[in-house]
Amino acid sequence: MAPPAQSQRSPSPSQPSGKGEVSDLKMQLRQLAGSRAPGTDDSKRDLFKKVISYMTIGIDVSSVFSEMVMCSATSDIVLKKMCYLYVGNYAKYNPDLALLTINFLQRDCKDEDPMIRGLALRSLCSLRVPNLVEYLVGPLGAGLKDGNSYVRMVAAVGVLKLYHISASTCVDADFPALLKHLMLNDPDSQVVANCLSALQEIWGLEASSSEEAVRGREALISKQIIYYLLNRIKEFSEWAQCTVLELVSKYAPPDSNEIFDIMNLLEDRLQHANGAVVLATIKLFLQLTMSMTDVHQQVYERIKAPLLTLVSSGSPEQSYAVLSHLHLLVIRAPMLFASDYKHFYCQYNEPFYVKKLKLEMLTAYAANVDIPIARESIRAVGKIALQQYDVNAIVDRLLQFLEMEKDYVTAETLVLVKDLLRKYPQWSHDCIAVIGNISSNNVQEPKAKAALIWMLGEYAQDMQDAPYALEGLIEDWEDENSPEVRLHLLTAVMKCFFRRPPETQKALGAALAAGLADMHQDVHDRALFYYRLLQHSVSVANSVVNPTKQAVSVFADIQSSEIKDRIFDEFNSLSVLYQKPSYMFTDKEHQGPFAFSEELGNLSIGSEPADDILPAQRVEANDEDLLLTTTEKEESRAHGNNDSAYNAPAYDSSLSQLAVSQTEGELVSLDQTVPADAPQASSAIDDLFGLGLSIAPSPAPSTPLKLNSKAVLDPSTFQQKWRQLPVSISQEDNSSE
Amino acid sequence: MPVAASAIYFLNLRGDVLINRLYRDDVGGNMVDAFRMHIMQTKELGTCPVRQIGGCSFFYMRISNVYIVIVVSSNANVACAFKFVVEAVSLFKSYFGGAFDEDAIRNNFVLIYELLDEIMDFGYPQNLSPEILKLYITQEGVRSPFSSKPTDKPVPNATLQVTGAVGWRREGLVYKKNEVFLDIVESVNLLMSSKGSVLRCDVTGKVLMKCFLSGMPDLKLGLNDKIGLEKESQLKSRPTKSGKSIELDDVTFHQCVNLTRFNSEKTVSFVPPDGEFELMKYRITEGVTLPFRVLPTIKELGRTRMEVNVKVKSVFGAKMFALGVVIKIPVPKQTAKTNFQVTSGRAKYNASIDCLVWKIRKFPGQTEPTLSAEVELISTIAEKKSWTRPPIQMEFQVPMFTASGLRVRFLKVWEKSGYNTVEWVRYITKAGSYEIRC
Repeated sequence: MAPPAQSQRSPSPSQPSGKGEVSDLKMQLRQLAGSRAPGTDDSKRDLFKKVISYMTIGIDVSSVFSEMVMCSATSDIVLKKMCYLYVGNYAKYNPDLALLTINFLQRDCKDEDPMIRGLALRSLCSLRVPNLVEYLVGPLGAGLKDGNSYVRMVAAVGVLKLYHISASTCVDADFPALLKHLMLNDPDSQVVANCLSALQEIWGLEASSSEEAVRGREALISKQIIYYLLNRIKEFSEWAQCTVLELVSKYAPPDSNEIFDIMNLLEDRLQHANGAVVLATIKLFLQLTMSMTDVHQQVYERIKAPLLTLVSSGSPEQSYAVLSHLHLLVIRAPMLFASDYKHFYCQYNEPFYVKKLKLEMLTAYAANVDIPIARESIRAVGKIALQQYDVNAIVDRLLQFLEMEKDYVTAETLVLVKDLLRKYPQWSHDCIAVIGNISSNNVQEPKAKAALIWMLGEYAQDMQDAPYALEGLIEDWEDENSPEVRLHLLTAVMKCFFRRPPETQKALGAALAAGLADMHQDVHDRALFYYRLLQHSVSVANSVVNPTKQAVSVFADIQSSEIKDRIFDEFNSLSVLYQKPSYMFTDKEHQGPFAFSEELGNLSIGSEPADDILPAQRVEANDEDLLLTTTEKEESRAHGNNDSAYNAPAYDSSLSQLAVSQTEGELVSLDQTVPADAPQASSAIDDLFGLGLSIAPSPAPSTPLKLNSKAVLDPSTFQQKWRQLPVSISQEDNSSE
Repeated sequence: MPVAASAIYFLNLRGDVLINRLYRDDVGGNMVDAFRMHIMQTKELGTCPVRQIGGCSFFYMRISNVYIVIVVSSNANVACAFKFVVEAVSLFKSYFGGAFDEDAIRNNFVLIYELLDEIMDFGYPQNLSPEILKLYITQEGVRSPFSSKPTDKPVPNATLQVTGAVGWRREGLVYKKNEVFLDIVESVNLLMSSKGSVLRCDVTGKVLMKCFLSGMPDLKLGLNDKIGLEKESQLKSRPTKSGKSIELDDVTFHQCVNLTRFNSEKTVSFVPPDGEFELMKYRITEGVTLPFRVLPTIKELGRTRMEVNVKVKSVFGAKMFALGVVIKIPVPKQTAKTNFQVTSGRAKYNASIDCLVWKIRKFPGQTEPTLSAEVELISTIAEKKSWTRPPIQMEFQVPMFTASGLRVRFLKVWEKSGYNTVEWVRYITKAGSYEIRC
């Protein structure tokens, strides 16, 4: 009975020897094919097992196809099953040979044993060979009318399989109508469930092309069918119950009495041992009571206990799935679990993903051992602060984190402190004192560095060393890999310049020069933009760079309520885990042609979609970016593409700033006069140093400065560079529809 | 759409395919390669059990040394998919006699293919109940050429039951001696701060049953839970007897329990499946009696020495005792030498988990053994990281004790033939995740 384990244990060396063994097998099978001696079945079994095990490990055994078919004439059910499995696997690639099997499968479909009838029918439908569909219709029709429920059950799914091979054959044979009839009349619950699944899928796919299918689909959620299924719900297997509950959640009862009837009927489902049934029931209850605020709240109360039980029982993977749903509910009804927060305390041995979700809910868990968890905790503490609970204590706490002098802790904390300061500027004094002590050499991560630089620029007047710290950073411009940090550096120097001109002047010149010579498009453009702004009018530049700020009350990373509702509608599905509506990951159009290559490039996107993209945006230098409308944010998220998400808003904002500075004429000229080649850039640099000197005395004078307008780049190469931009914008437009 | 799995794979830890079953054509055949490349061979492994690669989503679970991967291309129901895997594994286990690992799969791969055929069709879960499947999926081959006609009599019977409404019990069972075994197993989860205040504490309990009963018996179980008691006193219009009543936060039942009757009368009545099954699960957060208190004092004396004192106090009755008590006290990685003194049991230093492991085989109630240890550390200069002090973890089993105080008040068996049954009831409390921060 042992499988051919030796060859499996070392799959790669077995490949060459596999060839020889396959031909051996072929020989042996041929010998057995005609034999009727007793004991033949046992040796056949061993041979079949070998064939199947080769198939599993990926050795091509399609060459024994005809021998397998010859040997299939047996009454041993295990042999038959192995043979069916083999045929199902290879028929698709050997359509001609598959024809050989039709005969014996059709014969088995008429066997006296219902088991064999069912098995044969299932295999027949699994051949997936388009030119054999004509042979399917007869047996399927007979199967649907079979006296045994096992065969009917198989036939119902068989119709669905046929539909996927050839939709027209399936519809022409009027199978959907037969399925519906069976669904409404069959005494066996599993047959009913399979009919329901098949019909849902067929009519769902057919709906775009056929009126009838649309009507059929609507009929499924009619009162009559829903009530019929609900009345039988206890007969169904746990899996079928999920299907039915899912269907019922699409039904909109006309009045509240009906809603209560349904809920009373199904309340005991919340005590079912199968978590999937419980979740499906929860979804149904939430959907039903959507328009009844009071009852909706009661439902929340009622589902709390079952959900918490689900979290604490079962494997970590299961709790993860449930926790994701809890997370969604916590966002919708924050007070819901306020008294049960202890359930979200992490346990030492839990896997990372469970802890992460718990943290997101608990958002108060610090001093852990793992670096990723510690990071999450710090983020969590910050989130609490941003939710405005007890800011005072939290600021203290964050400042303590900074004193721990672990680089990853410092890095995370810096990002948070920056966000905090934007929301609660009144805390700046306490924070600045500590931030001032952090040496930029100890901060390596781009996000943290960007945050530090932002603070240096923003609070330049309060921090003694700000201009010199920035100067030091600019000296290392060449070594700075992250364009994000370089962008921040430019803006920070500008801000600093307007506050403390004499000390910063030199640094500004150096930064603009370095920025213009930068290879990165965004950095280059921003440097040029600042340069021109200064040239145009220093006071306007000041108002652009240092606008009167309002404290940010809501951060843009909070998803729009429309998206959230969308996800909520798709409760109990993948959407909740990915935290995005299903069209974003199932529609091929939305993934775009680069979906796969992007995954290759950046593996972490899927696991934390929101975190990955948004911080990059959050740390944009100019606050206008943060006030971007949420729809823009969604569009960029829809892409899930870091680069386009990052580039496009940055570009937009600089455009709008241009408009602010009333240089619409320049907007056009900018397109043609950007210096991009090195020699031309150097001439611009000469000019720059002059620029710094001429405005040094005071930031007030508004004499426009002349830039070497001859520094022209030939339009065609330039246009080429910019062509990328409209592309990414138009893609975003698509995805928003 | 509940699951609609496109494919299911069983892989070993190296990524070799042990079993694969493609249910649908909407995913490519190279899905395993994608899984290996993007999940198994990266740090991603274990960071999230659900991942999207290309247009497909992968759900994976590790069970002993096997990965089970489900591939879907639609917006599937994740909870259902994981539950399916868990159920499938327990089904395989019941076929293999307990173990589910790489070897078991290799030895039974034909059987697994057979089962995969039955439990899922075109991606939709079908029947997963071991009791029923065992009736017709046997490795023996139901029909053999030598006994062609009469033996297939049970088969149609079986197929009827495959899809029948009372899926969990066969008719016509006969036992010479009718017995029922009932175990209440509770696991206590605790998280305690170093100062001894309880941060989090709850009990998850299970009622496990083993039935060897003839015919179609009707069982009724009464517990000392609050709702049940109140309902009863209402019905009989007499005050509740004195004694503790337990408030269950949440209960779930095996599918055999008549939930309608539970909701109206608050009694657990059911027709049990034959053999072993889990009747109900519950969760309790209020009024939990902790069986053990742990009082640690860990002092770091300079850079190279530590002093560890741990006192464990058993709070349950003096006549009872706990078995298999293990206390794991974490020490820093750079531990060089340890000296112990224990008043009971044995202790040793386990370098592979960086813990002092203190074992007490039999731990009587109302006692408080102590461990005092001196730990010498290798001095390191470069290491700036402070020791993170993981929590002390504890394992134990206390027979005849329930942390929640739950008791069985009655267990009635009724069958139309009126036979006598013997009922056996046991209680046991185990440590779930019993952690004390130090």
